[in-house]
Amino acid sequence: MIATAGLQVLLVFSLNGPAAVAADGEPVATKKGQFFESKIRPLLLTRCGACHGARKQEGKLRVDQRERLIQGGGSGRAIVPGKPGDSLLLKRVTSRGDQQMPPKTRLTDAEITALRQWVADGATWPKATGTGSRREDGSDRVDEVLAPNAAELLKSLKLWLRADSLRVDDGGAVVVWPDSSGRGHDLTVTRGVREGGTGTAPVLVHKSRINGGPGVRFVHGNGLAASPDRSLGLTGDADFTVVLVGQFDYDKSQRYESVLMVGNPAHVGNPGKPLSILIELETGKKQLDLAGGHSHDASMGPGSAQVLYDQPNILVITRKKGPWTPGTRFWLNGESSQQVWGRDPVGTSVLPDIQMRPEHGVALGSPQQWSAGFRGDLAEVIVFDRVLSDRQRRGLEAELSVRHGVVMPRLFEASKREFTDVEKNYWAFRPVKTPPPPKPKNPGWTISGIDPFIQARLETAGLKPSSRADRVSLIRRVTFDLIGLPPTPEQIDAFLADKRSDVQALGAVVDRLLASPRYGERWARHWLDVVRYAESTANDGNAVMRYAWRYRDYVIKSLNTDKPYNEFVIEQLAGDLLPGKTGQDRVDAVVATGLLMLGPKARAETDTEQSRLDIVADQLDVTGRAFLGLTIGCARCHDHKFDSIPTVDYYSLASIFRSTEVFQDENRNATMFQEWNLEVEGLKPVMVMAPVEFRPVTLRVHRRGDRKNPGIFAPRRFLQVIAGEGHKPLRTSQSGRLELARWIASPENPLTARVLVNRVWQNHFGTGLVATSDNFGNRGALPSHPELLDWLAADFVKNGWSIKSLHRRLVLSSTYMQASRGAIAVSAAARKIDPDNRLLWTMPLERLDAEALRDAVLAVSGRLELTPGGSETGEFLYERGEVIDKKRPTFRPNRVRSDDPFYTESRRRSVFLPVVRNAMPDILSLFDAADPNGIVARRNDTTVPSQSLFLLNHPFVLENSRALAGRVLAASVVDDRARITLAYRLALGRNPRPAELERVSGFLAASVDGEKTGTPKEKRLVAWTGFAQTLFCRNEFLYLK
Amino acid sequence: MTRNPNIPMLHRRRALGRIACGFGATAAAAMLGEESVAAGVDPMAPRRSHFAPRVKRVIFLFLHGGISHVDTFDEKPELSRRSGQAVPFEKPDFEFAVTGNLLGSPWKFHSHGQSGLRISELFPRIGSVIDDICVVNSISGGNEVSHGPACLRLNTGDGVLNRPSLGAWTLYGLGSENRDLPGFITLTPSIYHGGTQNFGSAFLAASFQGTSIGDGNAEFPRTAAVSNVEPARPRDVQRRQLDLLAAANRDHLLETGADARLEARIRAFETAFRMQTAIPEVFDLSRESKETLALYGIGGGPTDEYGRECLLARRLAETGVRFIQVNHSYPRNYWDAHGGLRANHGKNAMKIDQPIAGLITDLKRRGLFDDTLVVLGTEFGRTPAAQGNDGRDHHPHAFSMLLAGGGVRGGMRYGRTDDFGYYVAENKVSIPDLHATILHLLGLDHERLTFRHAGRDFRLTDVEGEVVREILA
Repeated sequence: MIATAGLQVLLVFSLNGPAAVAADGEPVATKKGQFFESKIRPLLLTRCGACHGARKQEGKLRVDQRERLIQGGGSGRAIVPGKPGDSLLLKRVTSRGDQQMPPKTRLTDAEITALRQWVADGATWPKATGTGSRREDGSDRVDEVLAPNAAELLKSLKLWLRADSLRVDDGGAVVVWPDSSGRGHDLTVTRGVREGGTGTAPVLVHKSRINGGPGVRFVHGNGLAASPDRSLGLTGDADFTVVLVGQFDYDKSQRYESVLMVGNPAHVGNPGKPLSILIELETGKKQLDLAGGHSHDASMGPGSAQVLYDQPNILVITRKKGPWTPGTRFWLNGESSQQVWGRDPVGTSVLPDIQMRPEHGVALGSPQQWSAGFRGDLAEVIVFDRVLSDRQRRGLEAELSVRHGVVMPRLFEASKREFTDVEKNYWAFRPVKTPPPPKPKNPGWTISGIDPFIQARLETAGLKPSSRADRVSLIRRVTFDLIGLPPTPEQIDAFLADKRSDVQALGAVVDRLLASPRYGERWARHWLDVVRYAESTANDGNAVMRYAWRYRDYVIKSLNTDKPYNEFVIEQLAGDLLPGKTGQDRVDAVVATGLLMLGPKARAETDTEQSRLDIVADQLDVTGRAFLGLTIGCARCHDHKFDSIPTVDYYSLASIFRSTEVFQDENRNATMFQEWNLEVEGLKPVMVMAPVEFRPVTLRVHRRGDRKNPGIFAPRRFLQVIAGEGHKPLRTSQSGRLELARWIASPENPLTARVLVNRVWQNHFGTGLVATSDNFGNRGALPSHPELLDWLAADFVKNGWSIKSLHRRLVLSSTYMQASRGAIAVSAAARKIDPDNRLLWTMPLERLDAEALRDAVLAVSGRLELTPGGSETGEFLYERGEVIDKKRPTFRPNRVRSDDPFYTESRRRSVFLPVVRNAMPDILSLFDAADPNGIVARRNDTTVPSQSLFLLNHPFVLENSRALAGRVLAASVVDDRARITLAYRLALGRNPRPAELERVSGFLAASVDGEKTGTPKEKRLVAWTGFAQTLFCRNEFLYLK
Repeated sequence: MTRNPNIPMLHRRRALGRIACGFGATAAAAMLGEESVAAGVDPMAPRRSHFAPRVKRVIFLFLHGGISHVDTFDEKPELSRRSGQAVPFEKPDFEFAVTGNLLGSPWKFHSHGQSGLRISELFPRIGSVIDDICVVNSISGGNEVSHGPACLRLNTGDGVLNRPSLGAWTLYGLGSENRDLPGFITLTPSIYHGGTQNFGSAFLAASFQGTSIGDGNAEFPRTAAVSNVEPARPRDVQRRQLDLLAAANRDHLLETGADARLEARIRAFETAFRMQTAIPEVFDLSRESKETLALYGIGGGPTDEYGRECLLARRLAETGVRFIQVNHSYPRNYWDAHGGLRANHGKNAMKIDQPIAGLITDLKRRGLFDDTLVVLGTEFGRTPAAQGNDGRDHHPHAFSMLLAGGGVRGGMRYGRTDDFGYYVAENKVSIPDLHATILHLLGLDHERLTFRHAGRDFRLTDVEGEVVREILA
């Protein structure tokens, strides 16, 4: 195999091999050509070719063509002919550790020397004529990012002010704004430096209008200036580039607003006329000017400042030595003045007169009394003493755009994706329609709106629905389905005695169940599966999430109050941002965002940004699969292989979530997640686990998921295939979660309602109409009844997104009221036509899930405690934990084991047991409870002996068997036969048949006989306990007809 | 390669189909797109491997904390010569703590066996069986410099995300030969550094996860400690209960009509009943001869505990358990020698040297060696540079592991580090490479052993991994 692969590579190479003329016209016969053929080509072939040859191009790098080597791969140019020092190839072959290439076995020193020499000599590559290689389209490359202090810019960097470098409290005076350029041009409050007085300082705003990042806020009269003793060096008629990142406010109280000056701010004898270079806003004309002395301006003309006023900007102004125009140019958010204003700056073409002044400083705002300064926020100010090249300027703009979240239209052009009609018309992306119900041949069967759809399909297939289930089966089925507990004998009796029709009698039962607080406890658990609910962080730290329970209780409450599902969605993604919420509603809305906090978290991650991006990935995964039924996470490293989700859309959504902060301390990420005191007027403060807003962030695509390999910019927006190709990026100064939440919860979103009705369907009928309830994509299943799915989704939205109404639709139907049959014991016809019962010709036999099994055992034994919700679980874990981070009491519940006595002794409903990642209680995990480390759309259904061992020997089962025995023994009934009957009614909801009575009586007698010790009373209890235990073990107990 | 004729080698899909009696379970699983364990199917049924396996089972000896490679299996004379001098090249980008100058090993190295492989005097008895062992000196753990992520990477392939463990993947691929015992058993695992996730099943069915016996906090138990195995009632009482249950379940089955899930559950109770006797038998070491106990160093002293674990591993191997992990783990047995290297490694090596050599010897004489793979591994090595004056820091960039058993070339050294043991110089073996090789020996192609979850096909080796063919016999 290896040999073959090698041979293929060899063949490809040899095509280029026997060549007469070099690429640059050099004959192979030259020394360099020979050197290449003897040393370099074999080396590249044997040491690199297997992974970077014709067959495979790992990292997009291919080493079998000179052009491809120069062009390089994902990490950049591999060789720079003549410059081995700048050649990545040489860097990699000489690295050690993870950067080393080839990764397994280092090149020998001789090989490295040869490579270096070859590159130094110009990387001669003789090749056959006529084999010009095609340049691979480099369209996903964007401008290189350059920091202001990048090596190639550093020499020209004269001033660099960063608001984020200030260590001042929010709202505190900025008396000194230090220069980050290393040149020492620190700015201090003016009117002090020059005139001996003190001026007013601007203040630092931690969340400025520049997308919520830190900014220095100026009002009229605020000013900062560097000492004139420390000149910027922009003497005379200088070249320069000035970059301002800020937002300006319109205020017509002043005619001129001066923003930045370079040079002496005052003309001797005429303070109103500066001799410096001045960037100013002429408010009367709303005009952006660059002034340089007495009316020597380069201006963008009247109205030009208007565009600056309503948004954060990156403004770049360059000037070349010589007359003002055309040597002066403006760029706004990466677009030239031609693009923004439709013209170049106009003004005088004479030389500015600043060269007269030998000493030059720099000032912001109001430097002296004559100047008003300006109103607005500045986040960053950069001055270079030359005109940057277009490439350098663009690179810098890109860096600033990312850092400050400023949307630059040019950068985002590349993020637009176009889709084919087939992609856009994918069934799940089409708008939900309201199809008319089909007209089945036998209309008498129809009770609910869903029935005609089911019946019509059965008729088409030549199948008949099953008969109506008996009433005992019906009430057990619907009670377990809706509240996760068995009906009591009294409830069964009442239902059996109800003279009304089945559907009317059942309707009354359903109303009772939906009104019960137990309903929310049951259905919350289904939702908690989908959102990976847990109370510890998993992984190494496994820190206790002490307040996670509030989210659990929020879900229960929302279901019990039938909160419209669209609101439920919005609150979980962005409840903290919802305006107008007060009191307990506000608390609930903030607690709801715990959804974003629940995922597993790594503790000892050396790369803190990476760990945040992993959290974002988890948030996107849950958002995609829980709400939209899409596996968005698959697009993290490459365009989604099956669905129309390009990588850029992943990062657009990731930008939204990255604009939210999950950690309080990035260095101790798994222990210092956000827990804080929520203060709401009129209520006591509440500790919550909920994220907080960070500031708008624009990520770049991480090629192959590697953040060190950035690609195009991904503006904050939604999925383009649904929301529109290249639809407008978000401009909000918040994270964008609220906008995303509203888009998801909109009636127009084709997925949200479909996904929800399908989930509820799955939990009533065993399998969803779409069998893959968290994946509606191409890799998921097609809907078995597409029209029904749409009808239900439309009906659901029409009914105010009411989940309780949806239950009624599904449960009060002929479809649901069918009898169930053993899977194998079906008619040959049905087995042949529809072996998987996708058409629902019977109700499937339903196994109780883990929680329902445990709760039913407790309920039947009479030991179930119905205390609702609360902090018990969080506090239990907190108390049992070990300290793992002394900075704040954070605990890992490692000593809580899967067979912890707490789990055995607790008598509360299972939904209220602690959910410790990696230590789920045996009774739940053995019976396929959801593993909280991931999203569980549908549980496994396994049958293994360890389940039987549990039921035979675990103290929980024994204790409850004893309790059930005690319960029936204490009952005031006539005889043991009545006691057996009572036990049957409690556990199975029915009376024993005569043969069963005989059999159980025989068992009890033999059991009493078999006991060697104990009083008769004790022997009796042991015997009845043994019988009670067999009830819990029965298939009839575990499987609902 | 001999096959036990009693074990049906069913193709997995065929096995599913047979057990589900053709009623759509297989079709359902396929149709779902997402794989979930189909109802009523026994996930532990033996399954055929992708190609002829070299071994049937794995015994993974895991040394927790990071055993120093330059003091054990990777001799570095140059390191000793230049002990105390500065590290002559750049230290790695990712390090756990600050280290100082080079530190030569305090232990001498000796040649052993016909192969003449040199290992440190810490392991004289392992030296005596060195001709059966392949020493891999070029393991690279990537940049996982902390215990938790490094343990998870070694055991599950990923240091951060929750992924199925190596043992769980093995069971998923092959099922188990012994239906009366769990197919994946892990002895005294640590509850730290990933804890149960290190032997978890993540998105694979829960039945593939490891069953732990004891944990790192307490001495290895002397009696069977599998959950719920000890019968709650006397055998005859339980038999009577099971008879009553079986009668009731039969009636129920008649009433509902045949159903694979109901039938499987009826069988499961009978299997469980048998397991209650089968498991204690396996755990009962008193059935072993004095000579065997002595071979493992059982009978008091430092070797007793790990000796008992290794002997149990052999007994489990004999009964057909697929994946057995024997942990030497935190906090009682911990190799994390940031300081006190001499004392730490001296004491720990003493505890395991004889048990491991005994295990290999015992497997050989019982004919189990040729279809068992023994792996001795650790989450990372330790820095060739000193931490303090008698300690070493975590070092994932190059370290050593041992492999022995069927399909592995004994008496061989594979891969090489540089003169100081800092970086891999030749034939790097990444963790995915190691995993791919282990699966290969089990007859599984790591690129084909996939599970569809959340819309994509997951693998133990993710997108990496190459079988290290050079070490295969």
